[in-house]
Amino acid sequence: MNNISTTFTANDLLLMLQGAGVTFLLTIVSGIGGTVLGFLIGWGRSLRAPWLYYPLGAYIEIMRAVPLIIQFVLMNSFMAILGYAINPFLSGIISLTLYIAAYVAEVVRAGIDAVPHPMVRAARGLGLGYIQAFRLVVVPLGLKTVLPAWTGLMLGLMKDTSLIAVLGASPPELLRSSQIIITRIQEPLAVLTGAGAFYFIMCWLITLAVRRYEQRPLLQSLGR
Amino acid sequence: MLNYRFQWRAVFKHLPDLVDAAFLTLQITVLSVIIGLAIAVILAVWRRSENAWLFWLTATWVALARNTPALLQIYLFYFGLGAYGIHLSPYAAVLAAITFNNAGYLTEILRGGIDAVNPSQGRAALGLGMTPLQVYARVIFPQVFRAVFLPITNQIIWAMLGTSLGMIIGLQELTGMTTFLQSQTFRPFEFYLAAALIYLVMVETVLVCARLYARWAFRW
Repeated sequence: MNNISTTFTANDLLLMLQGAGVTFLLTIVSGIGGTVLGFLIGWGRSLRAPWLYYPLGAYIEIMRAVPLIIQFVLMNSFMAILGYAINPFLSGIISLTLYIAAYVAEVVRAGIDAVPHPMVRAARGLGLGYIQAFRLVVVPLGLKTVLPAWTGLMLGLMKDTSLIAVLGASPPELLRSSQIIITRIQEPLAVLTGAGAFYFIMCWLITLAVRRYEQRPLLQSLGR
Repeated sequence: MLNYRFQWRAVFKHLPDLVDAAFLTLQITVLSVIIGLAIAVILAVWRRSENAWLFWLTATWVALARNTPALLQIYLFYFGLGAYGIHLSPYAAVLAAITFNNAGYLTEILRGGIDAVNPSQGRAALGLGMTPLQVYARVIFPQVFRAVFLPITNQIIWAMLGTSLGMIIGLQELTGMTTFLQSQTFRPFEFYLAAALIYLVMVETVLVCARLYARWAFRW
């Protein structure tokens, strides 16, 4: 640490930027997939039909009780067992999607439960169909209550993408590319601090974006 | 379609190793939660302090712990501290990193709980002649723990699953041991499935214990 000079080159910075891009891509793709799937699961559970409620509940419980690393490896070898050996990057995206969907499902269910039941009945009484009442009343109102929790999940997802390294997926995401650089220049503290700063900034950007969305007048007028 | 013969014998043969490793996982979890909770209580109180230094210390800790991946934190403790000549064992690095992470999240959880307690209760207790320490220990925190018991349970589960990251730096907790054994026996799917089951059992046990404890501790 006494030596200020470094062998960190512009190319290394480029590799890290690329890694940050891959991290962002992984987060967006599995975040969107996981939100859609989680929405369906949460909605399915809110119907409270036993044949749907318990199997989906078991799915959520299992996904939340098994470490993500193990889910990655199991998915990867499971696809190989089925005879569809897909590349680790793709199987990583599938695992992340299935994983985050379980968490999103719980948040979605909480959001649906948060909308007072009389409100839904009133909407139905005004002649809205089930789908209409859901789309026009439950979703807008529930969205406001669950947005902070959902943001937290997406931030967690972004940090969890770093675990994809166990599969040796390429292209490398941010943490893996930092490690590649560390192996070459042997300055772990500096590189890891830089990677941490990257993650920090990305988290901050997402938080900022959601906060701006939250403060849109349309949503504000709907709530409270 | 399933052109694969499952072979469970190797898993059964090594089951004692897996159970031993599961206890290591449990040990790190318990230690990291207890130490993390102790730090979090201090940080959550400091967070309300008028001393700007203490406030910024806790704000920085919470922000760093929550906005960077746990794996990066483990790397920092394991590889990063080498720059200062500090070389931690994988066990110490994982314990330190998960504790650091726990403390950050738990501080935020406790802060929410403290904010939920009516501040006039604290003033009333001070007026009755309690010292600030007594106010926190006897009036505020009992209510806080009751209010945030569920989030704390979730954090314990997270810590348990988080220790699986130790595998990446060569710690032989449950995931690390599984990786080691499957590399010797070439039965990855069977071994990881067994490990997943053990994690599931441990998580459910913690949840049940937490529920029973909550019923006993918060019966008032």
